[in-house]
Amino acid sequence: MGNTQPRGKIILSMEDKTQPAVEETVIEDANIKLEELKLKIQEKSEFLSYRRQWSRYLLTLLVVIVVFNAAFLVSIGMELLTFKDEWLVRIIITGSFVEVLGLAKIVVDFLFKEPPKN
Amino acid sequence: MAIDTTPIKKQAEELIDKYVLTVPVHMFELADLMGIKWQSTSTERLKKIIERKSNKKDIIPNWEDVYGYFDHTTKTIYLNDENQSITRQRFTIAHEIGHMILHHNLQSLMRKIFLRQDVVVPRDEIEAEANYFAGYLLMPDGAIEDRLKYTVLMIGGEQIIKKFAKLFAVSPEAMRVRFKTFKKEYPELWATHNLEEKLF
Repeated sequence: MGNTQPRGKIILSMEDKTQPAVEETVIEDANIKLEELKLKIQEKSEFLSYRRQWSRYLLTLLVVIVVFNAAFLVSIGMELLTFKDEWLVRIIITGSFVEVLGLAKIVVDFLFKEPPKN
Repeated sequence: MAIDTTPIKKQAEELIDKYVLTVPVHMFELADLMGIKWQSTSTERLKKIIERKSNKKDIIPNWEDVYGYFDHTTKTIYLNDENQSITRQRFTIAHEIGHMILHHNLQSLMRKIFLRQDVVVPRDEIEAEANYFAGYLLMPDGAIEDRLKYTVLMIGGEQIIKKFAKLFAVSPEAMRVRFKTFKKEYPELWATHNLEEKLF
């Protein structure tokens, strides 16, 4: 194809210089998104940290209850403690057992639940 | 196309250090700092500019695919802003800066390269180098490595690509290509973040 077009000076539109402002909004958006992700990661790590802390508390409590039950039964067996009504011991031991089960339920339901994804 | 990425990375890192750039890089501001003029233009006008500069007509079959042009003599980037998102325009600036830095010795050759297919240096290689430079400048290794920890919050696949593209203010296409090169260069990091199953 021959060069038939006149080769005059091409005048460019100089008014369209909006890109830096548009770029700024895109960059600002990127920085906001990065901050959001940082917060989410922090939230997740705090969640895991609290979970670990509460797990330790509950484990300690469970150990205390089990040790108490054992000590309680041994004390009764060795006649260090005596109760007039034999049902009292049964109620206390059953109550303690239910407490252990209740705590186990809390552990399973809340502490081992998946942390929020988003 | 296999290119030697080490010197390209070095040049991009030098530029990042020189202008103390932070991610996402302000590309228009960087062009100003480097004394590069830029000009938005339509496809039709870009066609006229290139034809005028090269003294040839109909040298490119699809002008819509020409995103930019760098005029070495006037140090001006002509940006095709027709249907081009700001992220693509940012990449175009980075790409043309790449040409300026990497191929400054080929200034005279560039015109020939642009016009002819049978030149000594294949045009594809030059374009691949400029693309790698642009990808690295907008998404440096360190910044990708730093942000990979956030993939744990994302499901995978396209979601990761789109979210990362937003974090770097680039197009998802550019992010996908950069991820592929990053994976190739740092397979151990890729594996650490379990991205094998989440991404490609």
